Amino acid sequence: MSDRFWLALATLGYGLAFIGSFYRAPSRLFKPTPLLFSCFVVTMGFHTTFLIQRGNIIQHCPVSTLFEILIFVAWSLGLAYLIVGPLYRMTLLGALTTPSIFLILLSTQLFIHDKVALSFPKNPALELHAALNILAYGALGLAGLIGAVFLLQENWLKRKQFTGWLAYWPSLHELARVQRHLLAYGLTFLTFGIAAGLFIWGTRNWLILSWAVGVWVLYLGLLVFSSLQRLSNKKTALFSLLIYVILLSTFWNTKHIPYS
Amino acid sequence: MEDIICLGLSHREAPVEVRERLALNTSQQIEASAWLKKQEGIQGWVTLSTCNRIEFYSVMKTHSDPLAYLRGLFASLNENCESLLNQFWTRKGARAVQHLFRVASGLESMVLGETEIFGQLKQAYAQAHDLKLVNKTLHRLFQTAFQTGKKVRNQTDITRGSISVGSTAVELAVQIFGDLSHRKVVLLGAGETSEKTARALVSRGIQAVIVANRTFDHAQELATELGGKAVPFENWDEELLEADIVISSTSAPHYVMTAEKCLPILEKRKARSLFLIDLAVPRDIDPILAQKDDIYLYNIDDLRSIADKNLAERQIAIQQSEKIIEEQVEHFMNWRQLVYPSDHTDSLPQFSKAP
Repeated sequence: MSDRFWLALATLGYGLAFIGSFYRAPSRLFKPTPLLFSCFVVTMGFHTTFLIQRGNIIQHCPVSTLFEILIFVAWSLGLAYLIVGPLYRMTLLGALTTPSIFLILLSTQLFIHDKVALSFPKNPALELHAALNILAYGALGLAGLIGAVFLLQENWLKRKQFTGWLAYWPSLHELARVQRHLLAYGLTFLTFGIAAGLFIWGTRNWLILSWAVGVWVLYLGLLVFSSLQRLSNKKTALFSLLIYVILLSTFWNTKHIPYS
Repeated sequence: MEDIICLGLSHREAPVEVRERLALNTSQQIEASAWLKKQEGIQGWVTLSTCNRIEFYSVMKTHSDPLAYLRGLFASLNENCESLLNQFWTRKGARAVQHLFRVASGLESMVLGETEIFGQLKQAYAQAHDLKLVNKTLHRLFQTAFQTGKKVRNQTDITRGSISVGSTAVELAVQIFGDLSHRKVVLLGAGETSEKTARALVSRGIQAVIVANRTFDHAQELATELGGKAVPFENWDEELLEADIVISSTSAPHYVMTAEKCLPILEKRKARSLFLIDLAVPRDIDPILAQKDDIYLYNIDDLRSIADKNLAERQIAIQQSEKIIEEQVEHFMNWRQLVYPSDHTDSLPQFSKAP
């Protein structure tokens, strides 16, 4: 079966999990179910199969085109959730991660041309750089998503719009704690990813490097100030969301990748 | 021909003095099983004995006298409580089935929707099963009851939302902090509502309680009861630095926690969350404090309004639950009619409250 078949299957799986979670009564939307989680795990299997098959076809890590990079980012978002969800009992995130991944996969397949880069020059440093950065994108993306959940919940609590179904959500403290952990994981991947980028041969693009280091400094500052409690949980949540938007904007550098 | 019978007595009809005399412990139930097995008219029997209810679910031959069996049962245990047995009510057929399903769903519980009864019911069934007192009808009846209890809890909001000021405050505290066991609560004033709220928090695991009251003796008394510590009222601000929750209910005619006094302390707390509960009228806490990040301030009206909203939501949940129970009773009675067509099966009752 072709690699695209597995991708289509994964998209369908995420779509079904997305519909499945919203089909339930709105109040129980965020209540964990083993069935939905199992569905997510199986779908991640399809998603992984696509990446493996694509890697076999192009004989390197599937991060050579914007199409592959977006699929990889969606996968790393799913991976981050698979680790964080059960570990911190944050199944609520599933109801947010699943639609995010589904939308990324669907829009990527609909709007971005998938040209398989068979003649992509082999460059292990570039592959490592891209793979590590994409894993960082996943962890930091999930941190941003948690930030959004925190801001929403904090706003409700401040405005006294407390409803019973909020009881299914993790506490503000739990959200802040997990967010800090994800920022730490993401920053670690980002650090090694940028470091690996220094070993890529060819002309160095100082603008891209400065931009990447700038984003890295912002995340480092956010993590340090947040850990030292110099920044309120609300501001940490807000900045993690904003910096992630800045991080996503570094996609403009993919134009420097052949076949993007 | 057989009838499903329920004999019962609960917190609604009988005070604790009566219930404790009629409650049957495990060894008494084992002892009673020998007598029950000898009774020709009894084909199945499950005893549910909890602190809030004593109920007997039985399948008996039609036209049997359930109360006579009950007297015989207590007599076999040498329990002299003849006069109390008249307090038991009896329900038959669909009404008995409906009652069991309501019990399993928590609709008959003292705290509406509580889940403990479900476990107690399962235990009662397992015990009767082990004593070989469960026949086919009772087996099916209890399995459907468990199914009903799960359905009600999963498909309605019967267990959700606090309906008192104290438990609403606890729910909010959990929403902010999650685990409360390592949190510190400071009580300013020792009014009845604040005491109840503090008790509710302690019941959820809070161990550090500080009580500051203008009458120090009263503060000490309450602190002892709550397992906490009393401090002179003048020194309450020293406790604010390490507090996670503050419950204020003094009778002061002005703000006790003023911005002027509290803001410098809040600055020192850095990004630690603080839940302020103002139960006093006039208010004790300056609302300006709530403008700071990580500070959550709720006054008595806020808490009441949440509790009232939850109560309204529960009323809807009760209606939904009763609809589910109605369907399940019908489902069970249809099964029974199919398996025992000759048995007397009455029509479904209207879902009125238990007498």
